[in-house]
Amino acid sequence: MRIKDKLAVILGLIGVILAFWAGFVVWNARQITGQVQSVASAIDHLKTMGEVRSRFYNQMHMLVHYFAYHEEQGRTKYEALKQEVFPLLKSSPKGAPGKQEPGDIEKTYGQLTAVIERILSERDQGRTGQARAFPGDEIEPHMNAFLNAIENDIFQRTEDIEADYDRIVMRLGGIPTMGEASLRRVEGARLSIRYFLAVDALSRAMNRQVHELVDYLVSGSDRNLRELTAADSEATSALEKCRRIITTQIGLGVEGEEEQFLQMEDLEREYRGTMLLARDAVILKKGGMTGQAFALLEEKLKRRVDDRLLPRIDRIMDGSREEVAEVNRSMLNAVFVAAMAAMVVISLCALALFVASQRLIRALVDAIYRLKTGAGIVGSGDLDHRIEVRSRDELGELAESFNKMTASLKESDEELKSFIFSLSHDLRSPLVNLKGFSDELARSLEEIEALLRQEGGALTEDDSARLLALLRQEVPPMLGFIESASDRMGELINAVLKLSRASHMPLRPEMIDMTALVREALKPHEEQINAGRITVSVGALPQLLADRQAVELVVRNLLDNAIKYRAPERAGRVEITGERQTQDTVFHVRDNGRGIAPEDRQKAFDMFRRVGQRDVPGEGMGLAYARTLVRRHGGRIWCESEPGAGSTFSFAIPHPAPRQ
Amino acid sequence: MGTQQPVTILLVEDDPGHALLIEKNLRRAGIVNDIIVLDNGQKAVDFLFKEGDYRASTYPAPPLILLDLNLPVLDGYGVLRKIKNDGRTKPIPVIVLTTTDNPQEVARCYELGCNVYITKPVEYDKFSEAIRNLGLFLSIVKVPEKD
Repeated sequence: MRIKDKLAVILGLIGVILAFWAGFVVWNARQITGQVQSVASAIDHLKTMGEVRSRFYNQMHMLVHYFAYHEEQGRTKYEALKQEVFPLLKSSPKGAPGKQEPGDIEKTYGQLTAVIERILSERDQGRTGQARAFPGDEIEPHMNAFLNAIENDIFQRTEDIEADYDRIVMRLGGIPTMGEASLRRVEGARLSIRYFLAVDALSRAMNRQVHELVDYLVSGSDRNLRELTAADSEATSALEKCRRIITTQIGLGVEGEEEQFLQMEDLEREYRGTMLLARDAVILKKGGMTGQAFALLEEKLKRRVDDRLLPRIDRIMDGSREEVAEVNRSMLNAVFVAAMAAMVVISLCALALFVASQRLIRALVDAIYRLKTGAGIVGSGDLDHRIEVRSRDELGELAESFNKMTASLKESDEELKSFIFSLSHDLRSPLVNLKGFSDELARSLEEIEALLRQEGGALTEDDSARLLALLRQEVPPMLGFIESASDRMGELINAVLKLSRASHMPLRPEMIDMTALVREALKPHEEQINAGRITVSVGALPQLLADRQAVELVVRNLLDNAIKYRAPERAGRVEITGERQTQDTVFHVRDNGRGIAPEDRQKAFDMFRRVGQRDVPGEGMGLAYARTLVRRHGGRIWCESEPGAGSTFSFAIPHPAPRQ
Repeated sequence: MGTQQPVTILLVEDDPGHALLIEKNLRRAGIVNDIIVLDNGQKAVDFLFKEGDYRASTYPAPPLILLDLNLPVLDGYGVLRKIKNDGRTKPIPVIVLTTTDNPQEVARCYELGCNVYITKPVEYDKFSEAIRNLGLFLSIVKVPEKD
C-alpha cells in the first residue's frame, strides 16, 4: 500500500469520526425537538385534566342540587356535563405508556357513572328510601377514586415533564454551540410550569372547598368542616408556592414577572373574599339557617367563584402555558441555529483537514521521490548530484544530511582517486630502475662473457666451464624473473589506473544501436569466425541509452571472454541476445565454453582474478572494468554457468527515471 | 657539442638509479661531455650561484641543465624560477626532464622560462630510447658561451 493510500485510510477514519460527531449533533437537536413537543403536549394534557376536574365538580354539584331540590334542571345539567366530560377525557393527548394505566381515569369515571346511573334509576323507579338525601356514602368512594386517578395522572405528567426537561438539558450539552442562555431559558420554563401546577392546585382546592361546603350544608357533618379547613390550607399553601415562584422568577430576571405578581396578588384577594363568603355560609348553617346558607352559596359564592375566581385562574394558567410555549419556540429556534452552526464548523474542519493533508501528502511523496531518485543517481556514480532542500522540517533535514553524505562520499572518492593516481605514479619510478638495471646487468654480462672468451685460457677447464654455465644458464633466467616481475608490476599499475579512470570518467549517455555495436566488437575475431571455429549468432537487440565508450568496453570484454574461454574439444558457439523489460534493458552473452564453478562465479568479477585454467593470456581485469562501468549506469552484471557446458553473462541497464 | 664545444651537463635528479641510467644512455648516444649529478634543487642553485657548499667549485664549461621537477629541499619549479629570474643564470638552457605529462604542468614550466620540456616515459624501453634521442639532440644543440 502506498503512502498515499495509508494516509487516505487515516483521513477516512477521521472523516468517519467527524461524520459521527455531526450525526450526534443532529440527533441531539432532533431529540430536543421531540422532548420539547412532548412537553408541549403534556402541558396541554394538564390543562385538560384541570378542566375535567372542574366540570366534574360541577357535575357533582348539579347532582347534589338535584337530590336536594328535585329540580329537573339539576338533572339535565348533570347529563349535559356528563356529555362533555367523557369526550374531554378521550381527546386528551396520552402520556408515556407504562406509568399508569391510561384507562384508569376512564375506568373510575365509568364506575362512578354506573353507580350514579343505578341510583338515579332506582330513584326514578321510586325504590329508594331516603329520597332527599344525596347518597354520599355510595358515591363518595367512587368519586374519590376518580379524583385520585386524575391527581395521579397529573402527578405522572408532571414527572414526565421534569424528566423531559432534564433530558433536554442533557442534550443541550451535546450541541457544542449552545450556550448558557438556553439553560437559563429551560429553568425559566420549569418555573413557569411549576407556577401552572401551583395555580392548578389552587383550582383543585377551590373546587374541593365548594364541594365540601355544599356537602356540609346538606349533611351538617363535622367531617365536611374538617375537609373544608384542609382544603383551605391546601389553597393557602398553593398561593404561597405561587408567590415564591414569582419571586424566584423576578430574581432570575425573567421579563414580565412584576405584572404576574400583581395578577397573583389580585387572585389572592379574590380567594380571600370568596373564603369569607364561605365562612358566612357555615355560620348561617350552624345557626340553623340552612336555606339562607344555600342561597348564599348559590347566588353569591358560586357566582363569585365561577365569574371571578375561576376565570382569573384560567387566565393565569393560560399565561403560564403561553410562557412555556414561548420558551419552547425560542429553544427550538436556538437549537436549530446551533445545530446548523455546529454542522458548518464541523464541515469546515473536515474541508481544512482534507486540504491540509492533501498538501502534506504531496510534499511528503515528492520529497521521498526526490530522495529516491537522488540515491539512484548518486549510487551510479554521479557524486556531484545534490537534492534541493525545500522545507525546514525533518524532510529538509534529511535532504541536507543526504547532501552532506554525498559531499563526504565525493571527498573520499576524490581522495581515493588522487591517492591511486599518485601511488601508481610513485610506483612507476622504481620500476624504471628495476627494468633499467636489469637491462644494464644483461649488457654487462655480455661484456663479461666476451672478455672471458678472450682471456678464457687463464682459467682451468672446470672453472671455465663453471663460469660459462653461470653466465649462460644460471644468471639469465634470474634476470628473466626480475624482468617479468617488473613487467607484471607495470601491468598491474596500469590496470589499477585504468579501473580508477573507469570509475570516474564522465558518462555521456546516447541512444546506441546495440546490433551495430556488437558487430563492430566482433570484428577483431573475424578471422576465427570465418575459419569456422566459432559461430556467433546475434539476436534482435533493443536500443540502449548509455555511454557508448562504456558499453563498447563491456561488450568487448564479454565477447572476448566467451571466445577466449571456449572448450577446446568442440566448436565454439556464442549467442548474443537482449530484451527490453519493465525496469531495465537486459543483454545476454551465452557461450558453450568451459563454464565456471559456482564458487568462482562471484570471484571472477574481482580485480586481477582469473578463474579456471590459465592457458590463455589475460590480466583478469576485464570483468572488473565491466562491473564498474555497469554500476556507473545504475545497473547490474551477473553470470550463470554450468561447468563443462557453458556460461551466460548478462548485464542490465535501467531505464532512465521519468521526470516528475 | 661533441669534442669541439665543451659543455657541462648538469643533471639535477634525486633518484640515483634514474641518474645512472640517464648517464649510461646518454653515453651510448655518444655524449662524452662532463655530467655532473646533483640530487636536490638547493644544491643545484648553490652550484650555479657559487654559494653554500659550492662556493669554491668551478666547472670547466658553460652548463646545460637537465632538470627533474620532483626534487627534495627545493623542487624543480623553485630552481627554474631562481635560475630564470637572475641575470647571471638566465641564459642557461634548461631542459625539464620529468615523469608528469600533465598539460598544466607543461604550460607552467614554459611560463617559468624552461627551454624544453621532455616527459620521461615510465616504461623503461621507451625511457632509454627517449634519453638516447635526447643525447642525439644535445649533440647538435648550441649553448651560450660561458663568461
